Amino acid sequence: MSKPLQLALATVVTALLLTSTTANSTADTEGLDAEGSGSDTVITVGSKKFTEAVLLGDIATLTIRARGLAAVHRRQLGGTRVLWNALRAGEIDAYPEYTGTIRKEILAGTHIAPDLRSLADALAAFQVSVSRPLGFANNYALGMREDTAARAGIRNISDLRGRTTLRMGFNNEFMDRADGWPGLMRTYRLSNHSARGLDHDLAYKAMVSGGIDVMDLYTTDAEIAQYGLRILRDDRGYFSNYDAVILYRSDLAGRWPVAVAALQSLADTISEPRMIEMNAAAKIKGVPELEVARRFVTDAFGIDVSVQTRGRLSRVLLRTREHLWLVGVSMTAAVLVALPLGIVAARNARVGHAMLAVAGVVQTIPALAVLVFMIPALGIGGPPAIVALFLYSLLPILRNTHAGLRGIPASLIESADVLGLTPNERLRWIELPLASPSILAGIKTSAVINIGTATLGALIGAGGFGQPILTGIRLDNMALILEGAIPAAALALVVQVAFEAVERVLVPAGLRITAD
Amino acid sequence: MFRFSNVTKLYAGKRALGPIDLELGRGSTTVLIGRSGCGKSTAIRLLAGLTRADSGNVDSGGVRIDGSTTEATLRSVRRRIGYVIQEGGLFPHLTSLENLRLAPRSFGESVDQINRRVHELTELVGLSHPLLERYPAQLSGGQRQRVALMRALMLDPEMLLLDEPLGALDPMIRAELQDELRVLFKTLRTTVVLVTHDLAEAAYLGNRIVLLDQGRVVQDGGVSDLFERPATDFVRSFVAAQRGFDCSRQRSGENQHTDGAETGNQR
Repeated sequence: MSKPLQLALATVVTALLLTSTTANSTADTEGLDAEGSGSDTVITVGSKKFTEAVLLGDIATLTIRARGLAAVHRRQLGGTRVLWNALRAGEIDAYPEYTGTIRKEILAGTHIAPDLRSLADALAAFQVSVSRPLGFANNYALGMREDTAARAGIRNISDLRGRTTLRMGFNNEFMDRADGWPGLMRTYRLSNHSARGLDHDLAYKAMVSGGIDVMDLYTTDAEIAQYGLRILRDDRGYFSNYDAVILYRSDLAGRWPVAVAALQSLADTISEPRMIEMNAAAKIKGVPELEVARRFVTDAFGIDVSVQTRGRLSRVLLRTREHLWLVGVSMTAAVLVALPLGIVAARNARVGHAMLAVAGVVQTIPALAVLVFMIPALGIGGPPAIVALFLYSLLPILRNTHAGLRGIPASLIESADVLGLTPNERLRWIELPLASPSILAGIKTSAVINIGTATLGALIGAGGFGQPILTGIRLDNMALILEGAIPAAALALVVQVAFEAVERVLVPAGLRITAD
Repeated sequence: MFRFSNVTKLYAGKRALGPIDLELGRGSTTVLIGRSGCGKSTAIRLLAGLTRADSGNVDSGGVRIDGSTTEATLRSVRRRIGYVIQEGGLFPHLTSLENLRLAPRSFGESVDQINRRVHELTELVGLSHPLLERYPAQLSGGQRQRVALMRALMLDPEMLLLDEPLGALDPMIRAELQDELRVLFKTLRTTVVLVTHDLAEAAYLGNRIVLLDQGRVVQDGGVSDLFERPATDFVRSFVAAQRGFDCSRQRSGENQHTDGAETGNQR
């Protein structure tokens, strides 16, 4: 091992130990993994990638567990489409959703009467059932700072009419959605107002600093109370209702009636203030989501749900195992495929050209897009991530194998021929050993890129070091981000060092001698 | 029997050799000489079965090589031919000994047979055994060419082909190796074809000199014939030029394959 590498490795290890002793407040945010419940998993709950959804997923999972069933929570899997498809494919059995989203997004274009029974009937066509509402709605609303609103005398949205000096900042999605600003403008005749598109979290910051006066809100946002915002009354009843519910596969009632009973027992248990308070606990006070959920279940049902919390070290070990699995399987497959392809490519210039072009195109497809393409065929979790990583790992190996073989001087190839070696012997005894430094360099490049890219696997529930990074970004928690980022960087370094050792063994000694 | 019958060879549509007819008697030592691009390397590549003639045929030790000759037949030709190129063509990732073992291993010789042969040849070319444990990069230019010569002789070939074998060596070593080759050719009694552009070397090592120009044989005979009975003006000027200055340090740019070795370096 070279000196600089040793030094780098030591630094990383030290950093890892330091963060593990300083950031205890984030202890266990991910305690309901598949690993946590052993192998007899029966029910899988999913959740979208925002805090409230994750909290509801944890609550649903704990409630099912409180009835003695084994349940796991595959948290922050993605957006509405990913969760809906995963539910229909049977990858998950249930996930928290909002009635407004079901009507406007999942079943968009179908006319459904406003009652829950009609919604349930429409969902039945997809073998999906809906629980009774959980007790709160997470609606769109407009909000202002209390002082600005009081000064301007604004209580209702209709009070905004004609007040064109008030600056509005809306989240980009709200700006475009039919059930957002365009409809609002028509309903309340606010056409003289101009509004700017802003990121939701940044809009809060802009409100506080006085950069804007009116913004769109989600009514359960913890920031509303934190910044003392006034919610304007929707006096013309423009905004739809986004009642929180749980969607579950209809076959669950047959398989695990107790689980369905558990989900139904959550009906009317979460009030809007309670949800806001839980969001605040997780997002602002930094209480681990699972702990917030556990307190709720204990309060609501009087059951003390014991949560096996996983320490930081054990979490990192679990993530390491998941990450190594993703990297190991995809890399092995990539080497087994790209090495022979590289040999074929080196033999035939035209075929080689075509192969490198195809591999190059694959490389330019954004990782996220590849992951999403995989979902219909492979579902969520490890398999689609492994296939995507495999595809990304092909090019460096293919290219370096090709280049290594093509770079062998023609005189040496001719020498091998004139000795009477068969093509097979020439490949094994001469060409592969001579190309080995280049081939190994390609595999090394591939492995390092693979380790980095594998963090994206968390986006589709494949776990790995991307999991804490994703949660950390969502909760604005640097310690959690580092809990994923540092081991990923360390793993990349370890792989580099391991390859140096492998090169010592595999690259023939004669090639490491510098000619005088 | 080794014979060219009305052979023509094209490279990229241009005639590199021929049409030529040439017969090489068993046990003879023939030198092919000429300027760069005259076709001399092409001729021995045809004999070695490294390339096929575009028209005519080559009889290499009783095997007829033409456009339809199979790879398997070519391999059987190579089995009976030893070949040394300018830079030796030793494989850098193998020790000298491993380089020597390649061909015998490929043709299924026993370890005993191989070791015996290595021992014999070590004495013949005057290399000490410990040097064989070294990699080519750890040897001097002269030592490398000796190993290359040993490698060509491992299977006791019927014909030994040498393409500018001393071209890359400095004058001292070159002279020393010329002496050794002369002795070796006498000892082996194998058919030898040597390619060079150095008339002095040709005269010293060969008993028959074939002068090529633009792919054709312009003079074929003993050394003295070149000086006393030049067949054409070209022969006269070639001889005169070689007397005027020593061009033996120049490298031949004729052989595209050795060119590849110089520019297509691995990394």
